[in-house]
Amino acid sequence: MARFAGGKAPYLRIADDPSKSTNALMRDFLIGMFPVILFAWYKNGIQVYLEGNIAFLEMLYPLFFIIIGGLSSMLMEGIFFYITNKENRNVKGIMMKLKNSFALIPGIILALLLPLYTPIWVLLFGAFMATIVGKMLFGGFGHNIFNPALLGYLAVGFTLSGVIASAGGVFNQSEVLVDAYAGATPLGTLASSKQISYAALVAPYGSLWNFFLGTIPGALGETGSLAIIIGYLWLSIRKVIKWSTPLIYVGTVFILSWLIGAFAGDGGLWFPTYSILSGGLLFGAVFMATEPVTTPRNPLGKIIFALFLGALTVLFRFIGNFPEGVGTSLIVMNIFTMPIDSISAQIRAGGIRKQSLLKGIMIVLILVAIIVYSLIKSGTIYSLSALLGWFKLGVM
Amino acid sequence: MKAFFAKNGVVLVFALALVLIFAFGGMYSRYMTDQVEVHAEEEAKREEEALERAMALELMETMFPLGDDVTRRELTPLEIDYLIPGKSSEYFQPQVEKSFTVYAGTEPIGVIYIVVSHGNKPGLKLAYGIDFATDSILGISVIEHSETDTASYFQKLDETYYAQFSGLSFDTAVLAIDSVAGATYSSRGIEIATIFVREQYASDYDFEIPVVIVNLNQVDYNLDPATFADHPFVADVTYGTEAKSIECYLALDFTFSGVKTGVDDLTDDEKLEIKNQAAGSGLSTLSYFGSWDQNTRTLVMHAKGYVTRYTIDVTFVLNAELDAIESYSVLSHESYDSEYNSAEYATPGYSGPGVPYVESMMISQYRDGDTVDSIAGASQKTGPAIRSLLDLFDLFLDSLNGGE
Repeated sequence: MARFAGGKAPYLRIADDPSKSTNALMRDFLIGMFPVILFAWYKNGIQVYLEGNIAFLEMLYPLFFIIIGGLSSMLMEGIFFYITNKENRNVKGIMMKLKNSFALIPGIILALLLPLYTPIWVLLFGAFMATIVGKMLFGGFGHNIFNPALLGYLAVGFTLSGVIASAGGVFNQSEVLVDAYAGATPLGTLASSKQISYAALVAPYGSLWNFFLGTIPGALGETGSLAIIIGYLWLSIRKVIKWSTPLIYVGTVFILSWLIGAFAGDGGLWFPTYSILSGGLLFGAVFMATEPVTTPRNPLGKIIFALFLGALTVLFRFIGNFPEGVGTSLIVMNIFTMPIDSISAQIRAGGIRKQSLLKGIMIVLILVAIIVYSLIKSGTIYSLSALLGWFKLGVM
Repeated sequence: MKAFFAKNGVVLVFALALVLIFAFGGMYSRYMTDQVEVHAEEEAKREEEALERAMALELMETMFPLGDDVTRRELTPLEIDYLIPGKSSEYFQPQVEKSFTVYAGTEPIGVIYIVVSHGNKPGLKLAYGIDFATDSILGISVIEHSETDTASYFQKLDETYYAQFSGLSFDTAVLAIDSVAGATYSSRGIEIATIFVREQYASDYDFEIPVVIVNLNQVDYNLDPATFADHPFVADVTYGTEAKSIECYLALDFTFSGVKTGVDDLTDDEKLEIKNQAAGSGLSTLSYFGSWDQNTRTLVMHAKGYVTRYTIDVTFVLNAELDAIESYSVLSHESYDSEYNSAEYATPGYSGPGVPYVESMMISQYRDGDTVDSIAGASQKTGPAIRSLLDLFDLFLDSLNGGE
């Protein structure tokens, strides 16, 4: 059992094949992020420059910001190695450690999660929280409990969101010219309007096609749904991630959103589609819910993990202080990775027995409770009478 | 040192890199944030220009039937002082805010000036369309104003009034513009704007304004009882290339009204120029003489107060020495705050409606040799009118007593 739950991850699946090593895995992970990075640069830099709304130097900033995210993360980790390892302080040793630690990745992901106009010092603070607090203090790569980038993102979000807003916020210089956006991202509009209405949630941003392409306001890396899907396909084909985890996560959000829309009197597929293409859901599902260290390792555990993520994301979107629910649900579920792994490993190894059955039932009940609570809490956007009407009709 | 760098070089490089990222990255992100404001200002400017252009196109459609496009153009700086309408010593400078060249195809056919003048109040903004072919105004339009926009005042400037500008040629020495009674200051403000626009047009397009040679050597109140009722002002003028002299009378609106000494061979332009120059002299038109009876030593005077429909009529009876007021009476239609309407303020001899507290108080102060104070509640219209009347009366007394 320990081989499932207690080992250092990610595991070397075929240890004697260099193409399947951890290095290769992380290289492929970086490649998977390339479309997202390029799209973030295109949408917030190149396109805005071509439209004549910014200068050349401003056009380079999104790319610079992402590179600085990765670089600062790596430098901080290098300094940490230097301070904590007095025996081996030579260049070669530290560079080797950085290479094996994939120090760039938390900083890059963090940069992609932040708005364009985040001041650099805020990015550095986030990188510090991600790398030093979220990763190195737990023992470094493979030992961290929380997704480092996510920890940095939440630290910034909880403490410095006002600074980011006053520095320019999330809108690029083409988006600020669009009156229809009214200064809000799609999820921000839902949070403030509390109405499920195509005219209010989608029409100001064009159509769902814009949501799919990613030409809507949002943090640097979160809007490019198409680019994220390309990354997802690459990572799935290369078997860097389990293809089913993002699908189950996103699917859960889709179904729950459809139910909420139906209760609100609009059973169309536009609202669930809007829900999965808005905010950081796809980005989180592909690049963070599949992270090998902080998520369950066996297939059943991944499924349970993804289902809970979906339910919690919907819940936090309707009860949280922020429009987004992905970050919070991921960080919460990071805590339960170990028990989920343990229980699912028991079931997988020993089949369904009395003890594991009870635990399984408990998990299902908790999941159902979260889903029901999510539906009830989303009542802020539909009338209670409509919900009762569905009960009366025997639909629920 | 070498050993130190060999041992600590890596961390120093890393730390230095982080510091550089913090410093230069910080500058970069600060630049980005600053640019947000810059772009917002640029956008606001673009929107303002778009609005300006839309306004210019709308004016073009009204004034230039052949026009099909406008472009913003630069102005030649021009500063000219004009007397604020209704004031005797306060000046203002009209400002051409913007101007647009009007095109028919690629051919420039005219110009639109947006000028800000001063009527009864500042901020009287007007648009003028001027035709290049005829150097004449095609039309004017009031864009905004702070005038008293009621049936009694600014609205008196109706279509008939504005129609006089259509076709008004700049190629004449004096622009003949009729003012409108009851909206005197507003129409004077528009007249000033028109004169200034011509100056601007002349500066921008090397247009030569025809010149009339008129020198207003002196203009003063007419204190001659035989003529002062019909001719409140008298002017000493030198005119024409031969520097001819004439002493002429002017009406209350400074229009030429007769010859005192000399021969009247003045052209209409010269008479208008006399009027324009006299209007800027600062002489008050708030009061004027009615009649003088030598036998009874009775002088009737009139003043224009708050009520435009009626004048304030003051009758003075002078003492035997003709150097002081023996008695006076006031016929007034002015009305004041209720505190001035009690019977105690009524003056013996007063015969009109209302209570002429202000008039009586000010005349009494004058008669008693006291300082004539402003009176709260009548400081804008009636007070200045009575003050003007008393100044004029004072001049008349002096004239009766050999200037003393």
